[in-house]
Amino acid sequence: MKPVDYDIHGLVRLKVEGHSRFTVDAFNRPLSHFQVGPGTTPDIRVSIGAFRPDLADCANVDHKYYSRPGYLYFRDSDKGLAWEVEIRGLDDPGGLLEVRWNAGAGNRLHFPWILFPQMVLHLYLIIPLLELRLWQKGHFLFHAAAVEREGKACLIAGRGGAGKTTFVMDLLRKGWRLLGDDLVILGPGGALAFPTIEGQLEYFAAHRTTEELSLGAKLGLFSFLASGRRAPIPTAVSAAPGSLNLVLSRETAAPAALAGWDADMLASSLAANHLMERARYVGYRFSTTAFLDAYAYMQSGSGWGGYAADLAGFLRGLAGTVPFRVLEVPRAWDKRNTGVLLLP
Amino acid sequence: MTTLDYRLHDLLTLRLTHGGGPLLGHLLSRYAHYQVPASSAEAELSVELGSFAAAGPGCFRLDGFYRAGPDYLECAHSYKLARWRVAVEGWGAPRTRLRIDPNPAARMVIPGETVPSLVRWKLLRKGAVLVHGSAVEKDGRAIVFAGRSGAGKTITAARFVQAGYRFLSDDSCILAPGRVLSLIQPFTVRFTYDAGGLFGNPFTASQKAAILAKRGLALATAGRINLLTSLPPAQVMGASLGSEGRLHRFVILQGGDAFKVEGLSLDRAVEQTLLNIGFESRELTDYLDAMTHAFPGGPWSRFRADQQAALRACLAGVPLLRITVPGRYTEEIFGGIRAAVEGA
Repeated sequence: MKPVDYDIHGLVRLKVEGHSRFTVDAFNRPLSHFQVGPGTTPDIRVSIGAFRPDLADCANVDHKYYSRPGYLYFRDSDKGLAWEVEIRGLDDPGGLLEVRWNAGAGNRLHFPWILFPQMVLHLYLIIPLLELRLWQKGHFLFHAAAVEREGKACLIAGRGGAGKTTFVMDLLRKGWRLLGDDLVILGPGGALAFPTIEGQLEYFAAHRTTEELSLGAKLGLFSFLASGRRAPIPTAVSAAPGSLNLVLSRETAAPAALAGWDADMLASSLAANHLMERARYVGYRFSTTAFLDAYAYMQSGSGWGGYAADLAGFLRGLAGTVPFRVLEVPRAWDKRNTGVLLLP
Repeated sequence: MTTLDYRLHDLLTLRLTHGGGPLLGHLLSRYAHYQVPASSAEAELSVELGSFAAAGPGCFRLDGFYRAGPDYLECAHSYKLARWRVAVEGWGAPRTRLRIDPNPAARMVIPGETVPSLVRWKLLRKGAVLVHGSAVEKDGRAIVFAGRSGAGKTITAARFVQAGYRFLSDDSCILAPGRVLSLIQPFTVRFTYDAGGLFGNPFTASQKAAILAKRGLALATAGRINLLTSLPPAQVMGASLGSEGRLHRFVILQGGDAFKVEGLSLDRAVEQTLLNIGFESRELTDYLDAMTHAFPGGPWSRFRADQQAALRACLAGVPLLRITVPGRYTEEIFGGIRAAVEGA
């Protein structure tokens, strides 16, 4: 397969080489929104396929991570999929990150990777590396949904199941434009789009009236994505932060705005939500950014150890300037009622 | 029901209540060195094993795993066949209650991280930090060897004990303002190193056979089945068990190509140690992030900042060293470490 190029708002350019020809694009390319033609010089180049690690002069941590300045090699696994990774260029924030990723061919026989062989590449490697590079350019890849109207963004943060996607779909049906369904880029200039499940939202918009994924709906979604059909939904590129909603789920009768939250509390809650999103459990607990922690542990100067504090500081600034609302929302409730949200 | 009382120095009283049953050995032996006669006073941390009812509907439900109430967190864990629920009550209170409700398969995994997570939390409430490092003491002067797994913490502590030091900890020790406190726990011997050679072969014939069998199993399964052997600390370290000392040197050990001793700035020592602790305390930080997400502003929201401040206070004014140790540990290396840390 030809290399695929992605350009994320001109901030980070990504090139992925060696995609398998036997995968369904819609399942395996969460970043397809940013796909561009060939010819750009990448900031991150990911090559899929076998490689020979170069472990000379490497310090070792946990019998797992091998590093010297700028270089990191490790092996990892989840749900039967095992892979190895080599990264070069970690010591130069402005330079090229050269990444090699190898998951042996036998892995394809494991369910669910036979359908999603490259999802793990995104979850465990590309998203963390984008988070690193965006942060080095003053931006945060932040866990929240966002929609735009008239240049203003409505941000909706919450844990999985709190109703982010349902709120987003409802606002899209009311004429808003999509910025992000799960992640959005926040920076000094405001919010930048980062859609990752556009195909799924297109299916919802074109063929469903609710976002409940019953078995029938799952099969429909599957065939929609597998067919390669498109039914584009309106998307925006950027917006000024207009309002900030935090949704918490609780067994109450009706949705209500919670009183007593100040900007510091909101920032603290949002940062915790973001960090929780990285947590994984595979018999032991770790986070998808553990390899960046391991590199920062062994090699000084990456600054990654200060990321959480940096994010909290940024969010304090945001919460202090953008109007916000904290909502408690019943679990069993028609979340299409977006009237409860604070809209800009 | 059986009740066991423990006292970790003058810092924490711990009570374990359980109804018996299989596979509790590791949990029961973990703090055995600190067992005290049963007392009628309530413990600061009470660990109760057994079934409990789910919290009321007033709790926030976070992504299907957590239920969070004021000063209350419940978490439903599962891994393969194991299912267990954890509830923590009174995070910010003088007395904290931890309840664990495991199914039979989960009894093997409970001891893993949950109880130490809460011990870490309670110690920090008193300004003490659980540091991932071994420690030894002589004439009231304690030396801490922090490092990731495989860095040489255990072997270094063992050599110092053979040279006349008293043993304080193998894996984690407690740093409190002005002093280092012991945390003497059973030795867990992994197949990966030659434990017999390390400790001067204190093992019985049956222990040797068990270690050999587990090593064989690990080799036969390419490391997939990696069982540990637990040994009483007194058997390994003889009579030379200490209790506490003043922090004389703080050393970060790491693996590398050549033996090297470097001075370390306070900032870098704190950053590196916090990253190291971060790997060891994923479960606790996940719990605290869940609490922070729903109830920001409580003591759980300040954990990272509090831990950093406490660690900084403990390390300030103490000579800080980073020592690189090659894979093969020789007498010259031990001599080099000793020369580096014994100065006035």
